[in-house]
Formats: sequence, structure tokens, C-alpha cells
Amino acid sequence: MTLDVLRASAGQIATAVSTGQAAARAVTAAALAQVDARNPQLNAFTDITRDRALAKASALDAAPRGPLAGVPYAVKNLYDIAGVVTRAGSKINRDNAPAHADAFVVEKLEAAGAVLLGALDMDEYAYGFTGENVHDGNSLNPHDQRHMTGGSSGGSAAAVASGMVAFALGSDTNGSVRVPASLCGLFGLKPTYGRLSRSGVFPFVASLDHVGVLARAAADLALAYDAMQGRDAADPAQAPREVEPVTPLLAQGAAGLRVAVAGDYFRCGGRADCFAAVDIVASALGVTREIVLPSAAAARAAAFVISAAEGAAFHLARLRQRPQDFDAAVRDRLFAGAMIPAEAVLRAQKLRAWFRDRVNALFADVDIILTPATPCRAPLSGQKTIEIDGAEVPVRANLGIYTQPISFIGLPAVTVPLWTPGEHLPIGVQIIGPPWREDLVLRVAYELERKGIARAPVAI
Amino acid sequence: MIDDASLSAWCEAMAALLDLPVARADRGEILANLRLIARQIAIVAEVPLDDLVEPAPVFRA
Repeated sequence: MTLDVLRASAGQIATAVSTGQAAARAVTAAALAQVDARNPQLNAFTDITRDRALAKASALDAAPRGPLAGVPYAVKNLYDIAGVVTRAGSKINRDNAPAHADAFVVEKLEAAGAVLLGALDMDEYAYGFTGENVHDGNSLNPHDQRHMTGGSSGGSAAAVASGMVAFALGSDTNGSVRVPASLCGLFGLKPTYGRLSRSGVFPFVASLDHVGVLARAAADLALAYDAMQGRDAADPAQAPREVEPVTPLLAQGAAGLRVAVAGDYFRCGGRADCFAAVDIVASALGVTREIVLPSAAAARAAAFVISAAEGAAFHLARLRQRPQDFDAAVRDRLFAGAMIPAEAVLRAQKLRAWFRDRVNALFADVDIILTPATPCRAPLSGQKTIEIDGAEVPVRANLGIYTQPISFIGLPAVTVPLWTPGEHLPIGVQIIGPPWREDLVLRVAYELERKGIARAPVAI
Repeated sequence: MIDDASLSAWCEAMAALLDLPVARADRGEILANLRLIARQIAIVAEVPLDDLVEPAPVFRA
């Protein structure tokens, strides 16, 4: 087998397996060997489903099929995996029975031929942007282990960036796919709210939760996204839309698209290099136009309030019964969230509708909006604060200042990774599209990768 | 800006009302989070919104 499994894209692996150039079992064994070699340092995996993976690979070698045939992947440990306890980064959930079935989207990936290697580390109950976990340990950035992965899908980012898997599922409530994608140098997709089923995914803030993907190639995001589409009556928030494949559309690139850079709020607060990264992308796409998302700071604040209140309401029984079993930092955020007055939550929800209508109106004149994905490159692991607008603020709550206003209104977004001269850590740029237009954001990401502007090298 | 005494009183009252087992040692961190939330609430309040704005919680295109 000549395929370099650790660096190959999902598409390359699937082609090699489907055409008999590579055996799925050999691909799986190579990926598992990489997990054995790198996971002790990076702490990406919390559960390794070795037997399941090898059995699936053997079945594929007998009858290879599917657009993801033989592609190794893993999922954040809030996705149900049959026979595995869905811990959602917590100590408390470890007392639950193992899941009796796979989550809906895991079933879809399995049907597409992908090979599940296990479950991945995350911030407790997805409430944080660091990838740090007091129960399972911190996931570390494969490009420099002194630095954090970002979160809450930190293990997902570490596993993909280190070549353990070709892609991984994360979840994104306020930026938990897009932030670690930025800090670990990956492509990350958060689809439109309501697009992909979340049944079998442990919630954080149900009105903001999204299924998402991290990969080392834009086309791999599209492959995984296409495989996961489909109606599922078990998720009441899923929209009744037909499957709309995006992979066949990627080659159209950014031609003809009206692209603008977001100004005002999205040009403030972060370090200079996050804005420079946006400028590099804008230049590559020939963009000179700037637009303003009205009251974006208020939108971010409202997302913060809703997340705190809704997350606390969801966990109220656990807070009462087992407060000592929470990560103290998460518990104290949830305690505070439980105390928010109803008027403030209602006002935040009103602002959400108001902001959504105004931003959607902007899409009459533009197809794509560019912003930074994070206000800085990866902070040091264990670092507690970052500087925003001259003030020291908690890392855990603030790495998502540019992603929160976007997931707040459910827009599809992709993070693309940039590497700039003199820097050993990447930084991401966020590409935002109108509702249901995942094809547009992925086309732009694909174009930037094709031009060599965005790239996601493996940290071996 | 809400003063610390008011915030502390709010914390104590809400903990009792909601039956939350807030340990004395955690009070300072919870108050810090409440201050942060209060700042976000104030930012949201700066946007003038009509009473009839529909706060539907589910995004629909």
C-alpha cells in the first residue's frame, strides 16, 4: 500500500479503498497505530473502539462501498456510540448506561463506509472554548503541545491535526467547531441550524446546538456533510429539507460570488494578525467591499445570556444533586446562569429575531461575509485570560467572540486555516453564508485551498 | 452598574429559591460570573427593541 494514511485526505482514502488500491483493514491499522503513538501526548481520545473499527474494515474489504469507504474518523464524546457511555466531557454522565445505538449522523457516516475509531475529549458539557477538561485531561495542540486546542471540540481538532483520523465530528453551539479549527489549523464546518439531525447528541443549549465537522481539506468537509444529510423525525428542530449535496458544486469555486468583509465589531478586539488573516483571504478573492452586521456586539452578548440561562436550565437537576462532580469552573458558570432573570432572557431572544432579520437582509446584496474565526492564535494550555480591547478577559468565555453572533442566528459557516510567515501556529478565517447555502461557504473554502491560501498540514 | 452588595443578595436569594447548593467557597466565582452576565445584559439592553418583536427561539430561513 503506497497511500500515506496519516496525511491522505478522506477523499483519497475512499478512492484507494473503493478501487482496491488500499485495504480498509490496513488503513484502519495504520490509523490506530497513529492513535497509539500520539494520543498519550495529545489526549485526543477518551474511548478507542478498536474492535469495532477492525471489524468494519474487514467487512469493507469484502465489499467496499460508500463515498467514505475505509475513511477513519472519530466523534466528540457527546455523540452516542452503541456500547459506549456518552460522557459529554463529564464525570456525572459516566454513571449512565452505554448508548444502545449510534447517533443518527454516526449511522449515516457508517452507511457511507467510514470507520469509527472512537470518542474524543471535550470541555465538560461543551461549556468552554479551551479544550480543557478536569476529568479527562486537556487536549493539546498538535502543532505545539504547550498550547491549547481550543474547544469545546478540542479532542476532535487534536485527532485530525495529528493525522489520527481524516475527519472528526464536533458540535458547535457558540463556536465549538470553528474555534478549535482556527487554533489547530483545520477546516471546520458549522452548517445551518436545523440542517443536520442532532438525535443521539447530548445537548448543551438546544436552541443553538449544531452538528459540525473538522477536516484537513474543504472537500472532506463536503464529503462528510453530504453523507450526514437526511431527515430524522427524532430531532424536532431539523428543517424539512431535501438532501442537497454540495460535493458536486465545489469546483465552481468563488467565481461570481459577491463577497464582503465584516467591519465594525468584527474589526475590533482581536490581535492584529486575526484581521491580517481576513485581509489575506479578501485579497485572494479580490474583495474590497466592507459591510456592517448591525449590533453584532449585542448579538454576541445575547448569545452569551441565552447560553448561560438555557444551559443552566438543562443542568439544573444535576446542579442540585451532584454539584461536587462538576468541573468547578463550569458549575459556577451554570449556577450564575440559573440566576438570570426571565426579562433578560426574553430580551436576548427578541434581539436574536431582530438581528437575524437584519443580517438576512444583508444577503440580498452579498453572498459571503468574511470575519476572523478567533481573536488570537492558540493561547498556552492552562492560560486563563486573553486581552480583548485592552482588558484581560477569561479565555474560556471569549475565544468565540467572532463566532457567537453567527451561530446565534444559525447561519452556515466554515473556518479556513491560514499559516503566515514567522508564525508557528495557524489562525482561522470565518466564511459565512446565507441560510441553507452550505454550498457557497464550502465553495469559497475549496477555492482558497486550491489557491494555496488555506491549508491544513498534518502535525506528525 | 449593579453594585456587589446587590449582586450578592441576588445570588443568595436565587440560590435559596432554586434550591441550589452554593458553597460559601464558590460564592466569589459565582459573583464574578454574575458580573460578567450583568455586563452582557446591559449590552443587549442598549439596542432599542419594539415590544412586538417576536422572540421565536428556533431559527427559520
